[in-house]
Amino acid sequence: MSYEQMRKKEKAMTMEEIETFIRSKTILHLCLTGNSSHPYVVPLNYAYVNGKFILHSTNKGHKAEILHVDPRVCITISRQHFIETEGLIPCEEYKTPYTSIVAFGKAYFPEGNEKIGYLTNFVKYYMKIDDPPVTEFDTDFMLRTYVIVIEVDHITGKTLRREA
Amino acid sequence: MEWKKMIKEDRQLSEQEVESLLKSNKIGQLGTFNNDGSPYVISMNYAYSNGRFILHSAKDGHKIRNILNNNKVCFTVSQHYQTTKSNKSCSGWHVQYKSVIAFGRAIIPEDENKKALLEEFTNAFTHENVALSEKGVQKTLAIVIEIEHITGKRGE
Repeated sequence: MSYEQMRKKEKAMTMEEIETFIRSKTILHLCLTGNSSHPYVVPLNYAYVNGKFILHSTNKGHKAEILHVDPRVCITISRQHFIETEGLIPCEEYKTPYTSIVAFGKAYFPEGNEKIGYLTNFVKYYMKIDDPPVTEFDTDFMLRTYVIVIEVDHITGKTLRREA
Repeated sequence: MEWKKMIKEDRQLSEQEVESLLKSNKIGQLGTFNNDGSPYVISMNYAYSNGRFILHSAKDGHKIRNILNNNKVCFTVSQHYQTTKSNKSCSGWHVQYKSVIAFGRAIIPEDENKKALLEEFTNAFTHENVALSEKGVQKTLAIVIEIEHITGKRGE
């Protein structure tokens, strides 16, 4: 597909702002279509490493089934503050400060060592400095788990700043 | 369509739990089809009542064009509570969440219903009856999602 231009360009985020925002979060919403009658949107934990999103899922779920039919995905990550209504005119002046990114890409399922590498990176993404290190890798569990890597084709970020 | 069965049925939310999650949240994610069949998802404010979602939007834009082209949508509302980490990867890790996934059709009414829907939407956020100006109503669209299938799931 050809990607749309943002209508309100003053809200556009730079790539640096987009990546900082992505790294500050851990949950995204993944949208798939495959050949289903309806789109499918599901929240997932993610890791973001070298410009790719790493996801994981069981090997017998709905997601993996759809992705094998059509690997095209859309992702969104967002943060929203409370809507501001006090003393303002509805529809004209109400504002909800928010930040959201939308990414289009394709999913693939790495295997073998590549898969273990991505799972290791996934775990590291969640570890904070004061967390005890992960020392035990459950290889049986890893075999039953699908790792889904999303390669991004197009990404945009939009933000309505509080002062805007 | 044939709706998929949940793999882990013991994690399914009851109807009351689904209702209460939808009533206690304000933001969901709307999935639509792009004109080439690929997916598009964005976060949106919503109001939920009488078994349907009300959203609002500017008159033109990507999601509106998608809906006019194919009105089948997915709307997801989720709440994340806590992630428990462990030194054992991956089976020692747990994520506590609740999520509701609804499949349905998006309708964009342009008749007298539109104003009432936008007022219902607005009141869900202000918790008081706000009268909307004609100008406000004119430049805004109301989107109603009529639910065809809905399920909720919890993670523990």
